[in-house]
Amino acid sequence: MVENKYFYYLLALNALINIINFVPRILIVNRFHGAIMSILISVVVGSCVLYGVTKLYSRFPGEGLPEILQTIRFPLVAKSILFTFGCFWFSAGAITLVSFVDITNRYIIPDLSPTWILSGFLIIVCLSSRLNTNSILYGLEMLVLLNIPVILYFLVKTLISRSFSWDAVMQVGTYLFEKPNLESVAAATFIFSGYTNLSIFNRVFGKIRLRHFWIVAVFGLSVLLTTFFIPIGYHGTQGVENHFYPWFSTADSIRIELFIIERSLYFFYFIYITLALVSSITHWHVSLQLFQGMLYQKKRRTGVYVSWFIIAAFTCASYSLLSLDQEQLQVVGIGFLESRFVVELMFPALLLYVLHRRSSYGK
Amino acid sequence: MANKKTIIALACCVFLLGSCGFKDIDKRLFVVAIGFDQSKTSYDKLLIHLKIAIPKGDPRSINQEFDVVTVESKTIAEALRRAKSMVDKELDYGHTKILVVGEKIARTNIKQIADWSSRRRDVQLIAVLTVGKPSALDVIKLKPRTERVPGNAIFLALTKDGTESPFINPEYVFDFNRRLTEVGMDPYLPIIQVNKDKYDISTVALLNKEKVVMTLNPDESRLFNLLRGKEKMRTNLTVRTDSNTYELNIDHTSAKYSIESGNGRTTIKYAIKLRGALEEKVSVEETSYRQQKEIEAAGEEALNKQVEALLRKFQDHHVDPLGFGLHYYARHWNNQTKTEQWKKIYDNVKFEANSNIKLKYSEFIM
Repeated sequence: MVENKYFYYLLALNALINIINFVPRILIVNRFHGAIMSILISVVVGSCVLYGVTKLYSRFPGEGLPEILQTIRFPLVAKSILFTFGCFWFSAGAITLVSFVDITNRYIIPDLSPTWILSGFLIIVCLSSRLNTNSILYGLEMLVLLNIPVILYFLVKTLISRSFSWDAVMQVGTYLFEKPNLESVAAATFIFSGYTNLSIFNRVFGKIRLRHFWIVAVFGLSVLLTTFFIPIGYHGTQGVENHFYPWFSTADSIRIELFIIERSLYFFYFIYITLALVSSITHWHVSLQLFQGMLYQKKRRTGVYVSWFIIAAFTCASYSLLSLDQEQLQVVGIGFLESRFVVELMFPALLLYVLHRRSSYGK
Repeated sequence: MANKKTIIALACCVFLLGSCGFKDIDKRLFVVAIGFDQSKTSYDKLLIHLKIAIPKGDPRSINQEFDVVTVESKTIAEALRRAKSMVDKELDYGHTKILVVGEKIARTNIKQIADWSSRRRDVQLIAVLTVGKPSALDVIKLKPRTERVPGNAIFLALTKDGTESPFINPEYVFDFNRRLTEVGMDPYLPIIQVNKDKYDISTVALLNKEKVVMTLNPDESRLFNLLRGKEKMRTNLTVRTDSNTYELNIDHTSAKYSIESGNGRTTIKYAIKLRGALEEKVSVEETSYRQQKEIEAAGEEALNKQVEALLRKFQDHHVDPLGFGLHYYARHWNNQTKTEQWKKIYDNVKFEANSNIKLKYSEFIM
């Protein structure tokens, strides 16, 4: 059993990685069409679902989703649920990886073909996602703690810079009362959905106790506001839409006058490559365990070859995602964010059903 | 098992190294500045000048050597590819920090260059953008004797890392592109005036969304710098009273404005604060405390007039480099109508400058 604090690292990871998974892009495209209202709504919805589901999981100490779902009467239903969830987590990791390949190719090594960059990433991610659940949490802690100070430095640097236009931020702020839309709400709730990883990580947690829960909501709100407004402050209310990765363009617009490297993009990239990889590792680990749980529902022990087989399938699917162009990748990313949101909203019902069955039939 | 994994991983790394298109640093040429001029032969063609630095091994030696490659083409992308066949090594734009637009192009259409510069991934968004006068090539060919690394002199001046001139209004690519697209805010560019092997960056070009529509003289550029209120600014201020002419050394400035509407007329009120000391007198005589107050009052009055005249000039040319429009939009909630509303307001808006000059000391010699 690990301590409670690791749960918060899982939350922080999703909150930090959102800038790669198209969240700011979607919010910025909708900036005049209800993005701000959507952010406010998503803070309420996201933190409520987070709170509810975490409470429900604490009723199943030490059990992951494959074990919980054994209570369902029809194994086929349980298996198909596990399969769907496995696919979700796979795509979460794959989208992060593929967009990061795109970013690397654009800003760092334009000469190298995307296939090779992806291969490099896949070696790390595939090998690491087979690690045991505890080790992944420890690694996650290390990387999140190392990166947070540098990210804070960036945030302070962007906000106190003279180039930051508060007028642009306020101009977008006047569009507060526009009607919110599903796309933006789905995107914005993504930063709260770190808790979904509990479907496997719950195996190593005992009873999770949520203390000072309001901090999570406040943290979520401030992450969303910075995600959304800082690129606007740098690229203007109109120009910001021309940037496909608004945060990388923003990092490129900040000069570090008194340091060895002037172009802060490289620092930013370095932080985010670690976060992107650890996020993919976490997601693929969950996905892998879910698929294994689907195949071996009775016993937790699994064959080595099966896990390699699943990873090979992941690899092939990731390579096929590479052939998408920017627009198609964005469609896939948005599709993922939206369907994930719908499933997340329905998920508590599943857990309640299992709880109900257990209490009425005994374990 | 662990051993096997390491071997596989290492093997893959070896593959990666062999097959990528990576060029070693001694097989690269670094382009430090790009200039854009209009072709002399054809109206719609560009002349693109690449300033290529020639690196030296010893970092302590002064190295001013560079080469200029010029290509004529309709598009920038084509020109850069053509340039590849005019040099021996791979051209690298990762260190391109200066983009110079010739005056002729700046007066016709600058959008193509601005768009290209933000689209091209290896040109940094923190590169500086300027107008070269009489042409971009003159700026590219510039070889100031104080320069230690090719192209560095202009970069140091334009980023204010080096000289901190009150006349220089720096402009970066990201900011220029923001202003080019933003509603209620227009772009500006510093002008580099070249005279043989000397240069002077003391004037500013103001643009609408497409081209240069007016230029500011050095005095106006300095005022513009003051009014932007973004830079730490140290300048002098000339004050003429009836009997004498004084120079003040200003070491602290701030400028804020508010847009106030009342009685059917909108006023933009500027509050300017200057803090400084007396630096020079044309006819040397003692200055009493009362005279010091007179100098302050005379300076304030003159500054107010200059500021108001400059703002009216912006208004007459229908440009808004200070972002009054955006400021207005940011504080009004009628999103459907405010853009149209502001256009009407800006044409007859009244300007009111209210400056406050304080001299810390006048008579003591420090």
